[in-house]
Amino acid sequence: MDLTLPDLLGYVLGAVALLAGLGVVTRRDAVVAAMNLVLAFFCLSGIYLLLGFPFLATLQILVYAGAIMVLFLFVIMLLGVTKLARTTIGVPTGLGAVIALAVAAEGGVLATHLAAKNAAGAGSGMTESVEGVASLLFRDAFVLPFEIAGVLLLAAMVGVVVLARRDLTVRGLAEFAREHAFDPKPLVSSRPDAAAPDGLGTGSLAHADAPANGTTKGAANESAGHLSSSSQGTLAATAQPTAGVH
Amino acid sequence: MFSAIDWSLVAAMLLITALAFGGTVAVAGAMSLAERRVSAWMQFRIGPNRVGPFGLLQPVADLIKFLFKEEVMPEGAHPVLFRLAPALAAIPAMMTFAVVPFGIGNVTIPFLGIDRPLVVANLPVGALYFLAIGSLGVYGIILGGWASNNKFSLLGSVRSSAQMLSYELSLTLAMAAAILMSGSLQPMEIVRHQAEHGWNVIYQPIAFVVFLIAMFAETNRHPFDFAECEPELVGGFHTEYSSMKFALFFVGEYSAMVGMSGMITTLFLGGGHVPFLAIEHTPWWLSVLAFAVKTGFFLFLYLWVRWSLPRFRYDQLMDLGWYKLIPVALANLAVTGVLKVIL
Repeated sequence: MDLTLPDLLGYVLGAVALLAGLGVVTRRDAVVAAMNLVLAFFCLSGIYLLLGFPFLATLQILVYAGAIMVLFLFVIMLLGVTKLARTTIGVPTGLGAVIALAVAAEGGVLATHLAAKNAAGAGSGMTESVEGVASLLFRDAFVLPFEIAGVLLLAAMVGVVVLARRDLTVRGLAEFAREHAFDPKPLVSSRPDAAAPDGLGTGSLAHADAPANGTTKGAANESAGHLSSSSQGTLAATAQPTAGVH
Repeated sequence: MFSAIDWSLVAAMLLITALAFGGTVAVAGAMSLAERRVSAWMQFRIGPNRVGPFGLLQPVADLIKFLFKEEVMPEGAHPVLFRLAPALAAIPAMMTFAVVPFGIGNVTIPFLGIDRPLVVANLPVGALYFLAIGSLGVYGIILGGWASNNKFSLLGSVRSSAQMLSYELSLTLAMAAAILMSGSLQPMEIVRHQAEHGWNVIYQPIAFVVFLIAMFAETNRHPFDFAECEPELVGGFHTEYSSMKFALFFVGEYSAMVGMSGMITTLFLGGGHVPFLAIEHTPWWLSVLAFAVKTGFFLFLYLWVRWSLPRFRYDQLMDLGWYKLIPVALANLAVTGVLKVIL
């Protein structure tokens, strides 16, 4: 078989992606593991580019490497869980590895099958350009699944807020509104335990910012201060479990 | 195995790439001098004028000094990530310029006889590439602060990266409005559309202003330069860095400024388009000159603003980003979309 330059590049990228993927599950340093995942995303993006999907390749970097992994790093740093516990390879890990291999093999077979089918049908050309992807997502084929996925993500987000702030019950909110009808600021300061001892000052950062908020501003901005201080409270609340870990 | 490759095309692309990246880094170096000369001029001082004519060789002297400085690595710093962070800050910043067209149309490269557009990579998704690579600059800042094992560095990096993430949204929304106007993600096409129908800054003044503000925040420049408010955070995320690693963070910052200035020129000021001159009648060197003048103006604006405005407080920064810029940019985008469909 004649090996062309794109083929060679594809194999190199694939190999690096595999190695980086291994790094993600074997590194004990959480930040290094996350960076390995970023490297794997980059290799995937390169493979998409070689296959002739520049839009998909750009999205891969924009969404995964540029946004999601940055948030991952934020969470890792704020929680302070930098060294993960040493795990041994037992039955569960082995079982997981077997399942992963099976899924990978299935994906491989499926991809080969699809590639053969596409080669026969010469491809639809729909997924290559921005316009093609947009019309598939927003007009032709996947409008309903796309909207459902959006609602699901929203539900997940609301769920996270509720889980992170258990004091945010309807009764609690009403009580809070009565108490602080004209002064939303104490939302942060009413939780003196919010700052975790080794949350590395994220809590105190929120405290430092809150009093400056809205001292000279109008009522419209006070509601803004309300929102921001509640999000800071969430941040501090997420940092809290660290105290138990250490 | 490599027989199918057109080597003269490779040479032409390498030449354009070398010119564009060399230009970016050279301008970044010149900016380090301009920063001091302009600030001196604005404060009735003289500034560095000893090395070479008008102090023009000062960046070279700085480079030599940086190279010979001792490299200090703090105790407990992460050995790999500490070294990787400056590179991660500088490389994406230099890569953003790849999709910015620095002229209009094509140029025939002498000796090779190959016709190439005046851009490194004429990607059909160029605008998205710019955003994608631009969003990677935050890794250098996060890792630099975290790997230093210093709480001031970590605080500085959390501040700067939160700021960059927040303003990325307004930047993207403002860019989307400009993209809607020309109906293409290809920067060359956006420039061509503006040359034929008028510059986007006329039709999209709101998006232009939002992009301009977000651009200052994205590059961590004054009045949003929280990485370097000395009284509170020492040096921010690069407190522990010394020697060439420290310089690399600055190369990254200046390169990002060059890329951003080039992009705002491309999106809103018609790139290399000379006013009242049709594309067909513009010689390639004139379009490159026009692009350089417009980009140079924004680079000067960075310095001008730095010595004219006071620094924001951090809560004011977040307030401006989340409660003012994003709603304004969103509304602007929605109105643009509706008008685009109606008209």
